[in-house]
Amino acid sequence: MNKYIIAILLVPVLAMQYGCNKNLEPKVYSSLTNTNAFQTKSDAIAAVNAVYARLKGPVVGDNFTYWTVRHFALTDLTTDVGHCNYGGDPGQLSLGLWNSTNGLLGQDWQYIYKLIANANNAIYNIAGMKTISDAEQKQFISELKFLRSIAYLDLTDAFGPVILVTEKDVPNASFTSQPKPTPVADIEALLIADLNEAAGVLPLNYQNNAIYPGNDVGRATRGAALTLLAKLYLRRHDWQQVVALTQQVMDLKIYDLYPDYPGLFAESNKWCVENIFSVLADANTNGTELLNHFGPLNNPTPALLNRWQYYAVSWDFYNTFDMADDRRKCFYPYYKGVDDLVYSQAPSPGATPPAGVSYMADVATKKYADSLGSTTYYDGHSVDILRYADVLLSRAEAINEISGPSAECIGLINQVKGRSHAKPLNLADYDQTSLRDAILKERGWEFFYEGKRRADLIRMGKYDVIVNAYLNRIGQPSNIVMPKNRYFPYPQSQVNLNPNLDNSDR
Amino acid sequence: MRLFAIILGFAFIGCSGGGGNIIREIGIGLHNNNELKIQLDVTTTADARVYAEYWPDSSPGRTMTSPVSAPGLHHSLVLGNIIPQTGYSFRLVTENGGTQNVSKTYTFQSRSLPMWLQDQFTYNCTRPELLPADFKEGFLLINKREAPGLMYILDTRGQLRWYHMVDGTGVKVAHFTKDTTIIAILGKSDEPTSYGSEILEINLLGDTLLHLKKGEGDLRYTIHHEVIKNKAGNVVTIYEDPRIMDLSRIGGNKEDTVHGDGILVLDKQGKKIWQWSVFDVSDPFSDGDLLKHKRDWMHANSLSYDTDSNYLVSFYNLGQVWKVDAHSGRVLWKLGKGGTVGLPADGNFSQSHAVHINPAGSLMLFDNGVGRRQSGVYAFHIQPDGRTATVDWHINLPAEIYNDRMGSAYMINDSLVLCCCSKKHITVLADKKGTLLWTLDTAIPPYRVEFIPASMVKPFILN
Repeated sequence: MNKYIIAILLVPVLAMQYGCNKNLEPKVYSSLTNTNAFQTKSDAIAAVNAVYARLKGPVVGDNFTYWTVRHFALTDLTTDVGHCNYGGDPGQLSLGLWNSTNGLLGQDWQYIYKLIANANNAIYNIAGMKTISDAEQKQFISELKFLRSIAYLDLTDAFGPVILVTEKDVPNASFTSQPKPTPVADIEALLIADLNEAAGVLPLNYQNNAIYPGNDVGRATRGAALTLLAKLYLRRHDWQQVVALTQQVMDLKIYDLYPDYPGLFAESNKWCVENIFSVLADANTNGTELLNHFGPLNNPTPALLNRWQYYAVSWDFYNTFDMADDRRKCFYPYYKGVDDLVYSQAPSPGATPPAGVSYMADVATKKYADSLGSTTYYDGHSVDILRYADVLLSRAEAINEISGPSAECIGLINQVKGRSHAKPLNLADYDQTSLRDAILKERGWEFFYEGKRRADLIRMGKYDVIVNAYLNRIGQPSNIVMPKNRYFPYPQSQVNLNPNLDNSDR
Repeated sequence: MRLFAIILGFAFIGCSGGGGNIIREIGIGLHNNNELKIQLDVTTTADARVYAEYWPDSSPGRTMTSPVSAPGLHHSLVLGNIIPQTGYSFRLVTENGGTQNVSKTYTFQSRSLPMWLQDQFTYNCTRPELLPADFKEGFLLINKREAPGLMYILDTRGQLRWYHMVDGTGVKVAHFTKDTTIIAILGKSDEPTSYGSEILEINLLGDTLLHLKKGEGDLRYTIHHEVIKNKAGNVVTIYEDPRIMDLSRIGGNKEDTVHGDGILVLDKQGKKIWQWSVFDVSDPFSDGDLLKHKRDWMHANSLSYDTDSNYLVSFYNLGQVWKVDAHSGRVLWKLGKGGTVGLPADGNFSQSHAVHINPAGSLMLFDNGVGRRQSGVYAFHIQPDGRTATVDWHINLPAEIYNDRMGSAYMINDSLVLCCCSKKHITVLADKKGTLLWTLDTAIPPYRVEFIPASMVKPFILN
């Protein structure tokens, strides 16, 4: 056979081979990557909503984590305000005694980080989306950064230096790394940047909002970002910034004090002029277990039946309220129980009750236990993380720290007192030190069980003095030691995973 | 010549080695942006019908099959029944000119569920051997009412097996139909609880079969609490009927509004077939407390068929179930507090939900039990004349899962009932003594939980 004929025959044969091999290996492409998983605006909103939900946990079948109960174990039970008559982890915290195995410390850490992890994931994915508008992208990311800032502020209040993870860690997440805790100042730098960014993007409110229809109250706003930033500067003792930021919040002219203190916490009062940022709940759709934990024991009122009085207030604190102060009305100090016993305060510690009487170890607050509220297991009470009274008292504190008592400073405090018909302060009676003490007292009366007490005591340098004095009054030793108790120990379960979490000095 | 034969032979070997494989491209992605549905976009070089065989790598013998595509060059194959974070293998079968060819095996890894679908359900069952096989193998339909709304299908181990998310609105009510579809009322977050303004029907691939919106066709009303289909395939729903009335003689306004309820039957195009209103059969002024009740006079909350295809409607505020003639609209009887049906003392329910005729022929309902603060389930036998009823059986659910609003109860077999205690975020499987055999905690409060036998969702969802 002629070599030319062979060549002519080989061409189509090779072509056929090439063609057939091409058929054998189709082009395969996959979009199942781990990035850009969010496709639609609904994906983005669902992710943002999931991060809001983390403020309440949620734990399936166990709806009382983070801001809807358990966080109060760290912020209020460990102070002169909160009391828990149950043993175990909350009882330990209530007596100023704890260690790294306390379950409530571990749970708060865990659920705060769940929020942070979800926020990081959502920020990362939303930042890569091309299917939403620039305005939507900025809005969603600002909400997420605000929520993450709350989480890091709470986390650093409790534990100081913690592991900083952000959206930058999402693509190459390492679940076995053992990083060192990030200094608080570095975390604060991130929060300052994030909150400034959020304050520049978020709307004043959600009326006629193009992204969220139906006046979707409860979402983060400009006022909320500014207020949280003011709170952060307050912790840093950066008083000038607090004065400037609280002025900005006041200048928004959309907030005021709700006229009635007990009414502010009524279950039906979901959102009012005083709310800046709150965790909202609806008993029908996303209820909480605040009422179970805070409601009085054996109280016959339908809404209060079968509640637990788990998180209560010490009688020692209750007795500090002036009789005229409306805030004193926010408790259940005396009632006839379902067992016909009269529930009341003991006349003296350890007194034996006469027949027909039960002396309560502590007093339940109405703040999350509205007697006219839900009669069911889950309730719809809100938790106010940021409200306008805090703006006023934070500003008063900053002014006092800068220049001592002034008419403006006293006026701000008296505005808050006045709403509750409490006895006003007289400027002439105070110097800087005594006014600082008065503000600390005022903050206790105003914000008990709002997650602020421990941070307030620490910020003002009075955590050991005031809590030990309280503990001594109830027959306990001075269990608070500073600076050891400035931060809680890192949860043991976390230390086991990451030995860089060092508990030697806490 | 021998060399020529070898070359020619080589050529044919080369082609037959391709086996006539005509697949040009395979794209692997999600179907409808859903992590539990994988879509294979297959391009062929010749007209063909294509389907996929696929299996989890952990169970190579458990082969599943996608639907077969229509003849053509481009084929979208949907692989259902996907478990998150699982490795899968698949091969494509092409049918072209009577020749069937099977591709080589390819793989993909399913992703994790999006964060908003994680940690939503957990079940508890200490004696799984007591659960009937039908229940273990079956599925549960749940809906989420806040936007973006969701329909979930779970297995009885609390594992999310199928979901469908809707954009910009919530899923207020969802019902699994005999046509293997889900029909739902959609409503925005500012529309209360179970109220909405759209009707959506989808198949298990997530494709829209019907979508009616308020303001289009004869759907002029806010609808609520129930959407079902009738034998003719028409849509039947409860609607809100606001009537302007002069209430000045009872202390109201000259032009006041009383909000009643009605039944609306629409065809698939949204054209009205039949309509009925409580105002046709009841005088609002017979309610001595009308001013208090005018915003939601009766609060209809469920609609189903009696054995004779007439309607059963339940009203929360009245504490009654009505049988309504599906043609004349006449009320044939009223069961419950102040009704026309004589009830024994042990049959006094407070508020009824998910009223329906169960497989044994009893009228069954979830009773909120508001008066006793204990919820339960009733099964009534209504005498043929509709004048009296007897209690076939009654279950008292444990007081700990008392549920004062919403809820549902459906038979799983002759002795077990699936009960949804919405506000307690719990669904339970109870026997007729009220003993709980199985519980499911949910992050959301389900309005109802429907049981779907495994046979109804094959091959889209398999156990």
